Amino acid sequence: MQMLVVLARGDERWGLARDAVRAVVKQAHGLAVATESGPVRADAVLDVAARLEVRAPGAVVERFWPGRCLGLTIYDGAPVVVVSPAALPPELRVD
Amino acid sequence: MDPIPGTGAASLRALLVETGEYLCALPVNQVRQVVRALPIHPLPGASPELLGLAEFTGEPIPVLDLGRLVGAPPAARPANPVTVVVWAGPPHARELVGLAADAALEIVEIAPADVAAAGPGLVGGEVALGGRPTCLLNLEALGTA
Repeated sequence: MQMLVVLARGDERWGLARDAVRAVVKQAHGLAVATESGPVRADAVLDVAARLEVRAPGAVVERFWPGRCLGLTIYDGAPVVVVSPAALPPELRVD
Repeated sequence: MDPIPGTGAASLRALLVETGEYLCALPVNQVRQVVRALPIHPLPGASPELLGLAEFTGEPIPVLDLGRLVGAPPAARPANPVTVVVWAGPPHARELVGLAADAALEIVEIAPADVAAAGPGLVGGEVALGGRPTCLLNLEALGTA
Protein backbone atom coordinates (compact mmCIF):
# COMPACT_ATOMS: atom_id res chain seq x y z
CA MET A 1 0.00 0.00 0.00
CA GLN A 2 1.16 3.50 -0.78
CA MET A 3 -0.03 6.83 0.58
CA LEU A 4 -0.93 9.02 -2.38
CA VAL A 5 -2.27 12.44 -3.16
CA VAL A 6 -4.82 11.89 -5.94
CA LEU A 7 -5.29 14.69 -8.45
CA ALA A 8 -7.76 15.32 -11.24
CA ARG A 9 -6.51 17.05 -14.36
CA GLY A 10 -8.89 17.08 -17.31
CA ASP A 11 -10.45 13.63 -17.53
CA GLU A 12 -7.45 11.90 -16.00
CA ARG A 13 -6.47 11.04 -12.49
CA TRP A 14 -2.91 11.21 -11.30
CA GLY A 15 -1.18 10.17 -8.12
CA LEU A 16 1.79 11.65 -6.29
CA ALA A 17 3.55 10.14 -3.32
CA ARG A 18 2.13 11.80 -0.21
CA ASP A 19 5.61 12.43 1.15
CA ALA A 20 6.56 14.44 -1.93
CA VAL A 21 3.72 16.96 -1.50
CA ARG A 22 4.25 20.06 0.63
CA ALA A 23 1.19 22.20 -0.02
CA VAL A 24 -1.73 22.89 -2.30
CA VAL A 25 -2.05 26.45 -3.61
CA LYS A 26 -5.21 27.81 -5.22
CA GLN A 27 -4.60 29.66 -8.45
CA ALA A 28 -6.73 31.62 -10.90
CA HIS A 29 -7.20 28.48 -13.00
CA GLY A 30 -7.16 25.39 -10.84
CA LEU A 31 -4.56 24.40 -8.31
CA ALA A 32 -0.83 24.13 -8.01
CA VAL A 33 0.48 21.35 -5.83
CA ALA A 34 3.82 22.29 -4.31
CA THR A 35 6.28 19.40 -4.23
CA GLU A 36 9.93 19.00 -3.47
CA SER A 37 10.61 19.06 -7.22
CA GLY A 38 8.41 22.02 -8.11
CA PRO A 39 4.72 22.74 -8.73
CA VAL A 40 2.23 20.32 -10.25
CA ARG A 41 -0.86 21.54 -12.07
CA ALA A 42 -4.25 20.11 -11.12
CA ASP A 43 -7.92 20.91 -11.51
CA ALA A 44 -8.80 19.35 -8.16
CA VAL A 45 -7.32 17.35 -5.34
CA LEU A 46 -9.50 14.28 -4.84
CA ASP A 47 -7.69 12.88 -1.81
CA VAL A 48 -4.71 13.99 0.22
CA ALA A 49 -4.00 10.68 1.91
CA ALA A 50 -5.34 7.76 -0.07
CA ARG A 51 -3.91 4.38 0.92
CA LEU A 52 -3.88 2.50 -2.36
CA GLU A 53 -2.42 -0.68 -3.75
CA VAL A 54 -0.10 0.41 -6.55
CA ARG A 55 1.13 -2.05 -9.11
CA ALA A 56 3.95 -1.73 -11.60
CA PRO A 57 2.89 -0.15 -14.89
CA GLY A 58 3.82 -3.17 -16.97
CA ALA A 59 5.53 -3.46 -20.31
CA VAL A 60 2.52 -2.42 -22.38
CA VAL A 61 2.16 1.00 -20.75
CA GLU A 62 5.91 1.49 -20.86
CA ARG A 63 5.94 0.67 -24.56
CA PHE A 64 2.99 2.80 -25.66
CA TRP A 65 3.11 5.76 -23.25
CA PRO A 66 6.22 7.95 -23.36
CA GLY A 67 5.77 9.35 -19.88
CA ARG A 68 7.47 8.02 -16.79
CA CYS A 69 4.89 5.98 -14.90
CA LEU A 70 5.77 4.82 -11.40
CA GLY A 71 2.71 2.64 -11.10
CA LEU A 72 -1.02 2.23 -11.61
CA THR A 73 -3.86 2.01 -9.17
CA ILE A 74 -7.61 2.46 -8.88
CA TYR A 75 -9.25 5.29 -6.97
CA ASP A 76 -13.04 5.44 -6.70
CA GLY A 77 -13.41 3.06 -9.63
CA ALA A 78 -11.13 4.90 -12.03
CA PRO A 79 -7.50 4.29 -13.01
CA VAL A 80 -4.81 6.51 -11.52
CA VAL A 81 -1.35 6.98 -13.02
CA VAL A 82 1.29 7.47 -10.35
CA VAL A 83 4.00 9.87 -11.47
CA SER A 84 7.10 11.48 -10.06
CA PRO A 85 7.06 15.26 -9.49
CA ALA A 86 10.53 15.24 -11.01
CA ALA A 87 9.33 13.74 -14.31
CA LEU A 88 5.86 15.10 -14.98
CA PRO A 89 3.87 14.60 -18.16
CA PRO A 90 3.12 17.88 -19.98
CA GLU A 91 -0.47 17.93 -18.68
CA LEU A 92 0.72 18.37 -15.11
CA ARG A 93 3.48 20.89 -15.69
CA VAL A 94 3.12 24.50 -14.58
CA ASP A 95 4.60 26.67 -17.32
CA MET B 1 10.05 -20.30 -35.34
CA ASP B 2 7.37 -22.44 -33.80
CA PRO B 3 4.43 -22.38 -36.23
CA ILE B 4 2.10 -21.79 -33.30
CA PRO B 5 3.85 -19.21 -31.15
CA GLY B 6 3.99 -19.81 -27.45
CA THR B 7 2.72 -23.35 -27.58
CA GLY B 8 4.16 -26.77 -28.01
CA ALA B 9 0.79 -28.26 -28.72
CA ALA B 10 -0.18 -30.30 -31.74
CA SER B 11 -3.05 -27.89 -32.33
CA LEU B 12 -4.12 -24.60 -30.90
CA ARG B 13 -7.50 -23.65 -29.51
CA ALA B 14 -8.03 -20.03 -30.34
CA LEU B 15 -10.70 -17.40 -29.83
CA LEU B 16 -11.58 -15.80 -33.12
CA VAL B 17 -11.94 -12.03 -32.81
CA GLU B 18 -13.06 -9.59 -35.46
CA THR B 19 -11.46 -6.16 -35.72
CA GLY B 20 -12.15 -3.96 -38.70
CA GLU B 21 -11.80 -6.11 -41.78
CA TYR B 22 -9.45 -8.54 -40.07
CA LEU B 23 -9.91 -11.70 -38.10
CA CYS B 24 -7.49 -12.45 -35.28
CA ALA B 25 -6.98 -15.74 -33.48
CA LEU B 26 -6.05 -15.44 -29.81
CA PRO B 27 -4.81 -18.51 -27.91
CA VAL B 28 -7.66 -19.48 -25.62
CA ASN B 29 -5.36 -20.18 -22.71
CA GLN B 30 -4.34 -16.52 -22.75
CA VAL B 31 -7.88 -15.15 -22.84
CA ARG B 32 -9.15 -14.16 -19.41
CA GLN B 33 -12.58 -12.80 -20.32
CA VAL B 34 -14.62 -11.12 -23.01
CA VAL B 35 -16.66 -8.21 -21.73
CA ARG B 36 -18.74 -5.37 -23.07
CA ALA B 37 -16.40 -2.47 -23.90
CA LEU B 38 -14.77 -1.25 -20.70
CA PRO B 39 -14.98 2.49 -20.02
CA ILE B 40 -11.61 3.86 -21.07
CA HIS B 41 -9.67 6.70 -19.51
CA PRO B 42 -7.32 8.04 -22.20
CA LEU B 43 -3.68 8.65 -21.38
CA PRO B 44 -2.55 11.96 -22.89
CA GLY B 45 0.40 11.57 -25.20
CA ALA B 46 0.00 7.82 -25.63
CA SER B 47 0.63 6.11 -28.93
CA PRO B 48 -2.56 5.61 -30.97
CA GLU B 49 -2.50 1.89 -30.19
CA LEU B 50 -3.00 2.59 -26.49
CA LEU B 51 -6.60 3.75 -26.08
CA GLY B 52 -6.13 4.31 -22.36
CA LEU B 53 -6.61 2.64 -19.02
CA ALA B 54 -9.63 0.84 -17.65
CA GLU B 55 -10.75 -0.73 -14.42
CA PHE B 56 -11.17 -4.50 -14.61
CA THR B 57 -12.12 -6.45 -11.48
CA GLY B 58 -10.65 -3.70 -9.34
CA GLU B 59 -7.34 -3.55 -11.20
CA PRO B 60 -6.07 -0.97 -13.69
CA ILE B 61 -5.32 -2.42 -17.10
CA PRO B 62 -4.16 -0.85 -20.37
CA VAL B 63 -6.57 -1.17 -23.28
CA LEU B 64 -5.12 -1.45 -26.76
CA ASP B 65 -6.82 -0.97 -30.12
CA LEU B 66 -6.52 -4.43 -31.64
CA GLY B 67 -7.22 -3.13 -35.14
CA ARG B 68 -4.36 -0.66 -34.99
CA LEU B 69 -2.03 -3.27 -33.56
CA VAL B 70 -2.51 -5.55 -36.54
CA GLY B 71 -2.91 -2.78 -39.12
CA ALA B 72 -6.51 -3.59 -39.94
CA PRO B 73 -8.48 -1.13 -42.07
CA PRO B 74 -11.26 0.21 -39.85
CA ALA B 75 -14.74 -1.21 -40.28
CA ALA B 76 -17.81 0.86 -40.98
CA ARG B 77 -18.60 0.89 -37.25
CA PRO B 78 -15.29 1.26 -35.42
CA ALA B 79 -16.89 1.48 -31.99
CA ASN B 80 -15.01 -1.48 -30.55
CA PRO B 81 -18.03 -2.77 -28.63
CA VAL B 82 -16.16 -5.53 -26.84
CA THR B 83 -13.00 -5.74 -24.79
CA VAL B 84 -11.10 -9.02 -24.81
CA VAL B 85 -9.03 -9.22 -21.63
CA VAL B 86 -5.92 -11.31 -22.22
CA TRP B 87 -2.72 -12.30 -20.52
CA ALA B 88 0.11 -10.64 -22.46
CA GLY B 89 3.87 -10.73 -22.22
CA PRO B 90 6.29 -13.55 -21.53
CA PRO B 91 5.36 -16.13 -18.87
CA HIS B 92 7.68 -14.63 -16.25
CA ALA B 93 6.21 -11.14 -16.66
CA ARG B 94 2.71 -11.57 -17.96
CA GLU B 95 0.12 -8.88 -17.40
CA LEU B 96 -3.57 -8.36 -18.06
CA VAL B 97 -4.32 -6.24 -21.09
CA GLY B 98 -7.59 -5.28 -22.74
CA LEU B 99 -7.93 -5.55 -26.51
CA ALA B 100 -10.70 -3.39 -27.95
CA ALA B 101 -12.36 -5.21 -30.83
CA ASP B 102 -15.56 -5.46 -32.85
CA ALA B 103 -16.67 -8.96 -31.87
CA ALA B 104 -15.60 -12.25 -30.35
CA LEU B 105 -16.92 -14.87 -32.74
CA GLU B 106 -16.08 -18.46 -31.83
CA ILE B 107 -13.44 -20.85 -30.59
CA VAL B 108 -11.61 -22.73 -33.32
CA GLU B 109 -8.96 -25.44 -33.56
CA ILE B 110 -5.93 -24.51 -35.63
CA ALA B 111 -3.55 -27.16 -36.93
CA PRO B 112 0.15 -26.22 -37.16
CA ALA B 113 0.27 -27.34 -40.77
CA ASP B 114 -2.27 -24.66 -41.69
CA VAL B 115 -0.22 -21.80 -40.23
CA ALA B 116 2.17 -19.68 -42.27
CA ALA B 117 4.72 -18.21 -39.89
CA ALA B 118 4.85 -14.42 -40.10
CA GLY B 119 7.69 -13.33 -37.82
CA PRO B 120 8.70 -12.63 -34.25
CA GLY B 121 6.20 -9.83 -33.56
CA LEU B 122 2.60 -9.73 -32.41
CA VAL B 123 1.33 -11.38 -35.58
CA GLY B 124 3.07 -14.70 -35.19
CA GLY B 125 1.40 -16.41 -38.09
CA GLU B 126 -1.34 -16.33 -40.66
CA VAL B 127 -4.00 -18.91 -41.37
CA ALA B 128 -7.09 -19.04 -43.56
CA LEU B 129 -10.25 -19.78 -41.60
CA GLY B 130 -13.49 -20.12 -43.46
CA GLY B 131 -11.83 -18.56 -46.48
CA ARG B 132 -10.81 -15.44 -44.57
CA PRO B 133 -7.19 -14.61 -43.78
CA THR B 134 -6.65 -14.61 -40.05
CA CYS B 135 -3.80 -13.24 -37.94
CA LEU B 136 -2.60 -15.67 -35.32
CA LEU B 137 -1.49 -13.47 -32.44
CA ASN B 138 1.56 -14.09 -30.32
CA LEU B 139 0.50 -12.30 -27.15
CA GLU B 140 3.85 -12.96 -25.53
CA ALA B 141 5.29 -10.33 -27.88
CA LEU B 142 2.75 -7.65 -27.01
CA GLY B 143 4.79 -5.73 -24.47
CA THR B 144 8.07 -5.96 -26.29
CA ALA B 145 9.42 -3.29 -28.58
